[in-house]
Amino acid sequence: MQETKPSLDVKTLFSVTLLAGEILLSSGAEIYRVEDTIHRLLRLSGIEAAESFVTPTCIIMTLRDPDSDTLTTLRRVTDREHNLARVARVNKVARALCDNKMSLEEASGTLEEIKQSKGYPEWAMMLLLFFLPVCFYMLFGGQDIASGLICLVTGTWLALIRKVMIRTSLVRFFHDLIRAAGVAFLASIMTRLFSADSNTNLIIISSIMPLVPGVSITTAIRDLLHGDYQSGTARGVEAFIIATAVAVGVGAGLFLFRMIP
Amino acid sequence: MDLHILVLIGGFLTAAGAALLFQVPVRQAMLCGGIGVLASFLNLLVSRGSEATVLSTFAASLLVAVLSHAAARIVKMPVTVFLIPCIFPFVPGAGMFHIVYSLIESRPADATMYFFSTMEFAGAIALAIFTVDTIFKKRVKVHTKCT
Repeated sequence: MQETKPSLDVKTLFSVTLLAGEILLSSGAEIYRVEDTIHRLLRLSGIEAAESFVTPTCIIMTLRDPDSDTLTTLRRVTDREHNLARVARVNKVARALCDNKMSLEEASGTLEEIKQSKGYPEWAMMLLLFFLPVCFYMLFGGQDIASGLICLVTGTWLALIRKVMIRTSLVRFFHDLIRAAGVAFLASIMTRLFSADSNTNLIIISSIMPLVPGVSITTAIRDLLHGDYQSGTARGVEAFIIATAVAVGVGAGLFLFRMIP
Repeated sequence: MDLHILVLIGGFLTAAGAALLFQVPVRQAMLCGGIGVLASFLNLLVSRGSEATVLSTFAASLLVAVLSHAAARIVKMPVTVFLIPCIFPFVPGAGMFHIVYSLIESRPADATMYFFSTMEFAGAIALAIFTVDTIFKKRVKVHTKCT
């Protein structure tokens, strides 16, 4: 199938592949998916000797052309955010390329556009964070209306602090720590002030759920399954660090509350 | 019994909300919500309406993984799009909280107990994803021949 396109520009293919891999990795895709996509795209050149090595922070890929030079590149991926829509869109482009339904130029343009795409507006994210604690509270079997309202208060904290945190370049660890500490403190103090009989623990648990490292855990598991032990452990450690930050934050919040006489 | 409806609504909202938080398009996020409802229903069923147990979490994660793979095949999107948001509500955040709380209350024995129970929950989720991934991986190799 590959022989039908001998005129394929290898250099363009190479850069398109790199771009696709970079977007995938920085959007939180599993290592397996990134490597697989790179492999499939590089194979389009008709050259069998295509290799890639991907870790959570960098991509190394090489294309050994027996007739000309070997192409190798290394790309560091530093800023990562979870954007599953990008993963899905890049996947679609890669499929179209594999099926010869899209030209390299089109693919390059689309990928650039995906890279620039912003996703949902900030106010929508804040609204989500505002409501998520109540949703979790319901999921965990909470039925008390007063506690639900306190969940809204902690949700407000999560939403507001997100806006502040985006501006400051604080290390992720302290970011999570401060958010969790605020949640624990607010939940405790609101319970004491307004409704003595609500379940503070359940409110805190519901409110820290948006902070727990669900993505890192899931991705780590799937990476490990595919034999990517390096990234699996790296993401496992990432999950553990986030979990520690949240835990220490909750501890700090509760401790602060106990200091109040 | 009717209060369990609240739990199911919570299951929908948390899964759909998590999906939106990770920028999943609205239509697929609703699908995530649907999976969330079914999973929390199974969770309730296995745990007999009380708090989630390791077994009920395992069952729910298994259902989530199967449905995510099915949904991914149907709408032709990566499994991650469905799997991550739908597993999110079952991540043992409660266990994490109890570990810290016990430590603050100076009850290290309880903290150790909660640590191991949290590990059990995480292990149950991991095992469920492992199992379903392996099954579907086999099927894919037989059926598709991309490139």
